[in-house]
Amino acid sequence: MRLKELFEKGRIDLEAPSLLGYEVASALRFHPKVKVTLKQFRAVTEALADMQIMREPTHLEWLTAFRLSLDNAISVYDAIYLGFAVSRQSKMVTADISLLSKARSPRVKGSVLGLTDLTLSI
Amino acid sequence: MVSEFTEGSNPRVLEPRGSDSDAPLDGIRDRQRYGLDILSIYGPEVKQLALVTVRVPEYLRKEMRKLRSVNWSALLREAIQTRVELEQQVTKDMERVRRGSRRADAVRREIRRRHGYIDFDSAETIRYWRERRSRGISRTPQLH
Repeated sequence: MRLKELFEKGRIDLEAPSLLGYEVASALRFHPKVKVTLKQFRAVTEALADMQIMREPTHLEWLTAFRLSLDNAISVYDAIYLGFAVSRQSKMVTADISLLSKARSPRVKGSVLGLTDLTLSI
Repeated sequence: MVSEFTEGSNPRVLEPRGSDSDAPLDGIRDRQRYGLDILSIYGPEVKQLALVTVRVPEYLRKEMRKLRSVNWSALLREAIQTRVELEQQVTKDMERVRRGSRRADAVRREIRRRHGYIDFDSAETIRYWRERRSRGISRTPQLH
């Protein structure tokens, strides 16, 4: 929530590959307790579009992601997020512990940050 | 065809002496060929090659020469390509960002009102589906 707040204020920028849209939809579709209505789903997809976080990877980001996928034995689905972070010299923030543990190369370790390790002093 | 771009003038066409003008260029060879301090920059359409002059301090040029394994042309091309792609990205409409954020908050509040607090880690669901897709990929038949 703090990240979102800082993003809204223009203090930080948030970016993700367009894959994010599919993953959000999947998380809502397979929510174990809540049956998300079509109206709610539509509101979520429109909200995501308005927030302008998602974009198509650039050519270089694709190449970086593919290289990282090979070097770290991770899927391209994981690597494309890392490709964004490495190419933009920014940080990938994730709540996914298993991805953090898979990071092998120093390049990846330096670009990925656990959500719980994130300190925002901006 | 090779063009030299200089500030305030139209591109000047340079034809390499005794060589195929469509051949990919190499930074050091180009410099020798044209007698110019240049590095070739070429994008996806390699048939049209634009020459971009890059000025560096003399000490840096010496250091660059020592590192013969580095493809300076490719390095610069990548850096320029990245910058161009970044510059071309549309600046975010912050009012629209805030509107989207408010809308997302409204959905979250509505769900919480209806179902109460739910201890659900969406990262686990996303991980599950990513793993499923990756496992599917690893079963792809291998070529013999």
